[in-house]
Amino acid sequence: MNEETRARRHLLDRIREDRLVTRRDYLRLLVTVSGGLLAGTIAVASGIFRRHGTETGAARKVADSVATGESFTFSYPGPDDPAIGMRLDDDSLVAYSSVCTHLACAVLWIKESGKLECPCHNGVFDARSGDVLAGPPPRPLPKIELRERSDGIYAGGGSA
Amino acid sequence: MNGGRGRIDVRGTSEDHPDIAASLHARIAIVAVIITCQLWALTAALDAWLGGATGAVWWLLGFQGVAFLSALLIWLASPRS
Repeated sequence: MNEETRARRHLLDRIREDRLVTRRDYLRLLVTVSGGLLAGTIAVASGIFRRHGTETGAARKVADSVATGESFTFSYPGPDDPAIGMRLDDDSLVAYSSVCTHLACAVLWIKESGKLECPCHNGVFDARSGDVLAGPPPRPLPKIELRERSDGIYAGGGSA
Repeated sequence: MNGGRGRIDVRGTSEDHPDIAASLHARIAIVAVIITCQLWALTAALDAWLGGATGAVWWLLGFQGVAFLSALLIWLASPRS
């Protein structure tokens, strides 16, 4: 067996080995990816992604008063949960998490249009229900229950 | 190699065993479909979680578990060369 024949046989052995390994390895890689996707879903279910505005908290005073058509900002239930409240034209009080459900920008109350708008990607929410009116947000804004008492406006007693 | 005059002979690979090759290809295709469904389930679970629909998240987690076990069994039962 000369040198060229030996080299050729060696190359063919490598090709055979590679081809056999590649298919099974590819299948194993796919199964590993499948396990990774399962792990990702376990992480989601375990709550590593924070949900703004859906947690409940104790009732807490968030403002003294607010005029019709005006808004105020506060944090509820935790200090890292920004929220926005407003008194609508019919004197009803509403409040929502001010974290946009699209990419978590802060939504703003636009008095002239009577809507909540996210300036980042032009998401528009209905001020009365929190529903998405336009833009890319996939979900309504989480609603926060407000109660007006003699000494001020309170958030809490559960959020919708 | 071969002076460019012909094709390299790769006899001895699974090309000699079309049944094994076909089986592996079919398994790869099935697992790829499973992974596609799992990708959908993961995004649906994240959307459900962020939307507060916790019940749907558990269903999707169960689906993910079944999908992964299916992929694992398909791999473990694949023919050895």
